[in-house]
Amino acid sequence: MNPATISMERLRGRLAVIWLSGSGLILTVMIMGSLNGLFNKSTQAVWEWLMPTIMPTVGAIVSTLAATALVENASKGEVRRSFALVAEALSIFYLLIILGSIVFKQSISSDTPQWVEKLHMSNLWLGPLQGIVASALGVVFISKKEKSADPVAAGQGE
Amino acid sequence: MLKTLRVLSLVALGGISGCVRHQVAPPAPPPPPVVTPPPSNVGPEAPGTGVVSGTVTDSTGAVVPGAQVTVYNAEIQRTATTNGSGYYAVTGLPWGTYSVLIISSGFTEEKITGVVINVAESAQTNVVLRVGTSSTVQAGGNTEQPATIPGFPPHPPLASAWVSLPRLVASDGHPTLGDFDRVLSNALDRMGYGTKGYYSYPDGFALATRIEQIFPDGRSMPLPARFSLLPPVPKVFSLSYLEGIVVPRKGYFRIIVFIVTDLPIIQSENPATSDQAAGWPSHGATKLPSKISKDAAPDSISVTAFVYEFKNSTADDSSKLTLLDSATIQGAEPLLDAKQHLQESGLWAALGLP
Repeated sequence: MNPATISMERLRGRLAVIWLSGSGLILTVMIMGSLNGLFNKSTQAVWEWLMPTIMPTVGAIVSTLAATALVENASKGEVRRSFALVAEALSIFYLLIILGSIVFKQSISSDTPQWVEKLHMSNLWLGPLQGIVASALGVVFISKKEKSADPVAAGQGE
Repeated sequence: MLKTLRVLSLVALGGISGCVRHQVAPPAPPPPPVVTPPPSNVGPEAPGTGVVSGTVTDSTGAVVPGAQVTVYNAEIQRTATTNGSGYYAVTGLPWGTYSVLIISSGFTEEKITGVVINVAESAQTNVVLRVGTSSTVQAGGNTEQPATIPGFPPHPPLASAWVSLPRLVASDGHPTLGDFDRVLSNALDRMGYGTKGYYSYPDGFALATRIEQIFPDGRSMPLPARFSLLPPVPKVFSLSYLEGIVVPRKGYFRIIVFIVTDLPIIQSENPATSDQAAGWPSHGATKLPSKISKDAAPDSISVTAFVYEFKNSTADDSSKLTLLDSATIQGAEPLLDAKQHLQESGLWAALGLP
């Protein structure tokens, strides 16, 4: 194996761990907060902010994993380590921003309505950042090269 | 030597000054028990309001221009000044019973009570003033401004808790209301309350503390959180902070109103709102006028502390405070009694109470 590259399968696995654990933690905090009345009348507004920020990416990851789950060595492609690092770093950075927006709620605003306003304002920077992250992950999880590498897996993933 | 001020006639009319068409209108709803500062001038007549008007003269019959006439009750206060003919008119007064205070430099002040304005019945009440003496005219000719001592609602809004305090001033030695004020204000100053608001109250006065943030057990919070309406943010990653990530934090606030009077106090059925209560210290007078403080305190006088406790939550708009009383807490939280509030605030000890 080329030391400058990493297998696509391995990178997918690492990114899946990052995204599933990160989004799992975020969702856990959000669900606990919702059940404890932390958001009260703003509960719907908070979830309306959260869902578009993580669900498309998590959904794509899970779909790809599901599509390749039954095929051994489904992804035979290699990815540069530098790119893998960038993809992982972007994912962690993005998830930390979302998690921080929730965990540091008390420091951001004194009450939930004010905080929700700032959450929606955060879409100004989260939107572009999400686009960059999605571009990086798209190569890994829905790249066309993979189709030619493993037609069976690619066919299931479509 | 002070002349005696005499008001020849004082007429309280529901429909005078061209507002007859308003007499058939239903009476205005009772205004909220918020003391409003007097307007600098009286605006146009509003529907369903009445007028108090009259002429101010001295004992020789000469008119007194420039006299300040204040018409007030526990809920409203209006001021006018007599013109060159000694005539004044105070308009825009909702249905109710008023007192009228006339002050003019070089004269003793005169007060008339029980002036009734009943718009619905178009009642006309003529009031004959009595000549009296007063000690409120200060040396140098300056008179105290009645506008600085608005009235507290005779039926105070429903409080979270209240307690009648043991006698604060010994009954021997002819104590005055000022003696009670000194005991109360000294205790409040010692406990760091600073700003406080004075109000007149039938046969006494009321003293309101500023709103302070407290711990759930009634202790005053340390500064700067004490006089802030925002719950303090705990240190990041402290246990309280971690808890606040998934559980809303609550803030507790308190205003104490001491009412000194020898009359029984009957509370209103309406609970106090936070906006109303928070305005008490700033809308009241900064000190007790000598007119009141020099009044003798009868043996039957008592001091009652009304505690208005409010709560807010980080889950909602933190500027909205909800009064805590037996009806709203519904057993979910223990409601401190008034003595506990006074003890935890340190005021009980500062007042020298056992």
